[in-house]
Amino acid sequence: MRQENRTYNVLMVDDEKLVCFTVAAFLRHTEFRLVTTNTVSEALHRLQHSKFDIIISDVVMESLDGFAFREEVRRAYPHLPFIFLTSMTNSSDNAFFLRIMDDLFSYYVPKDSGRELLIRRLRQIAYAFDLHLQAHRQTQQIHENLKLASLVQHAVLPSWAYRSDACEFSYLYRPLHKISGDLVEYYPLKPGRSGLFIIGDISGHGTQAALSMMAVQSLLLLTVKEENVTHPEEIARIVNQFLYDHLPEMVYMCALIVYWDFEHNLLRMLNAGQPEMICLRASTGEILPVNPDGRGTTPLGMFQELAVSAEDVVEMTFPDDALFFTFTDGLLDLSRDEGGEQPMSIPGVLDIARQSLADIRPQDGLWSLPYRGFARLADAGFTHLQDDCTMLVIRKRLPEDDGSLTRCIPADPVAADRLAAEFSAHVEQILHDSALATMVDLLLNEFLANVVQHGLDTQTRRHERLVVHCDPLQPGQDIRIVVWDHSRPWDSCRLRTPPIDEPNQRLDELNSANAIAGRGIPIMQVIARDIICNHYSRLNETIFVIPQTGEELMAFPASLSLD
Amino acid sequence: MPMNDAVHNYLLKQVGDEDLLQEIYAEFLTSFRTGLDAFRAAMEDQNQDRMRRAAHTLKGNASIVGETAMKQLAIDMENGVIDQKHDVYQNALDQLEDAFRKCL
Repeated sequence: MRQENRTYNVLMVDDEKLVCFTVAAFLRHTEFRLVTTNTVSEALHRLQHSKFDIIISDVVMESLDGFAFREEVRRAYPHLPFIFLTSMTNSSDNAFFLRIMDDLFSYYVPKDSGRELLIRRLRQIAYAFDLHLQAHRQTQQIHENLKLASLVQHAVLPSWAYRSDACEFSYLYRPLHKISGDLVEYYPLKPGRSGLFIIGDISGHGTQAALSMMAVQSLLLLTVKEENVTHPEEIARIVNQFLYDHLPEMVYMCALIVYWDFEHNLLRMLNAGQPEMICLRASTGEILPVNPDGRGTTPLGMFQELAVSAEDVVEMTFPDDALFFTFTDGLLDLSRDEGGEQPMSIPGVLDIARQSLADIRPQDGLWSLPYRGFARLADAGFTHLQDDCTMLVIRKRLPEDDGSLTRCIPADPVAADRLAAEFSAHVEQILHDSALATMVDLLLNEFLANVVQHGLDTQTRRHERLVVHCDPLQPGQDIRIVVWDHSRPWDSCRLRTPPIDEPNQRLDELNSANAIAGRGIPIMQVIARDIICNHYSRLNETIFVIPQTGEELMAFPASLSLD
Repeated sequence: MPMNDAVHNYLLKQVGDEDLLQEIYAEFLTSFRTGLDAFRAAMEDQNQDRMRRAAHTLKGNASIVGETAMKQLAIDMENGVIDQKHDVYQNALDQLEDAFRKCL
């Protein structure tokens, strides 16, 4: 049972010298190295300076009793085996034993057990504790590995926000166990305004599903080409063959493979076992049928030959304002209870999509839509994931000819700095107000620096993106800028702007007192009349309302430097 | 040292060394004498808590060296104190003193 040559350091406290002496005699020539003490304070001192594997303690002692001693020990060693060696066998009620059992790592050995029983009990406890430590170390290792795997998976997935000349999409990705078997990929065609989009769901979840997902992703990277990108059925055949030939039996993938031509508002879609895509007109909320005939094929990898032809592919034309919602079935499995007895439904998802669309201002675009939808589900009690879950909204990118500006940038300081300069130039170009432009530059610089440098850790920062949007600018009207990011949530109370009577003086005071801390919040509070922080399922939405009429702000304090 | 055979055999089995056994028993006698004196002193002070504690210690000391008869008397004594039955613990104390004298 025990490990060869393993010795255990045992600390014993009993105010009876006889008991310590006898137990020491019992443990001679064993793997247990006994250190005896006659007071609790001495035992605590020893504990501070040496490492022990097991503690043996009397219960009734002149100084602190055994239970109080255990409490002290537990402050620093919550799991150290603690044995009560006592003669309290005639305890009139169960209270004594119940107190011992209050603690998962406490044990009881009667004083008249004798040598053999004592040693057997010590070995049993030491062995159990070794197993506990081993399991703990392995669990820690698994957590570390999963954390790393999650980082790797996020690195190979597109960022939550994507924007090209052709289209833009935003998606929410929720693995059941840190890593997921859901696949999202978009392969843009260059030049042109088209591309191939795939959302997939590998059977099962966890490590096996995530590895299979990454294998499929690698395959797609190698095989998606201009020649086959307009033919989803060709892509499906390739994936089907790969899954069937190279991955274990029972690994299959439901997938939606869509070729988008955003120039001609045309899509060609093959559905291989995925929930149907939902198309809503952003302007009216009208639902447009995507696949009324239920075309499609079986999930990929189930059969050696995939029964698919061009006739199984859906062709659809769509209006400019069409918003496409797609999701993996993990969304339908979301449940109000842990057992998954009260799951979502397709009509439920449709309702959520419509309500979320109704919630947002059209100018704000689609960026928060999947997150608002998920937050709405959580509000309705659907909080228990039963499977990996992905929800995505995609649409054609429309021209910004109304004086608005939207940018989707990597979460790095240089990109943030450039973005602040671009928004500042935009303000100056349209409103011809250089002081206001400087304010916008300063505010975005401060805020984005906070998000990038303080709100994101270095490992996730590399693959994160931020979206910043400025409403159409009109002379004399407030400037409204919105930032969406995945940094640690801001404390909205701290960001709410208090009324400021003397902005210049206040700015000076706040700057010298707080800005060196790097948060820059006082600066933002002075520039923006209102700062509103919303959080939707781990997505932060921060809205800055900047007045154009703040003459007093134009005399910028000399103490503030843009550096 | 007049140790009864049962206790001697028990201790020898536990520690496997005659010298060590004798050392333990000598320590037992010293501790037990101290315990009995502590009990008497607590009795004179009519301090129930100290009486109970002393009886409990005597029980533990008898237990660990295998003096089962003395352990039982110490249990009776402790229970007598808990139940506040003077006759019971006095009687147990007297018997314990007798038993202890026989060990010397």
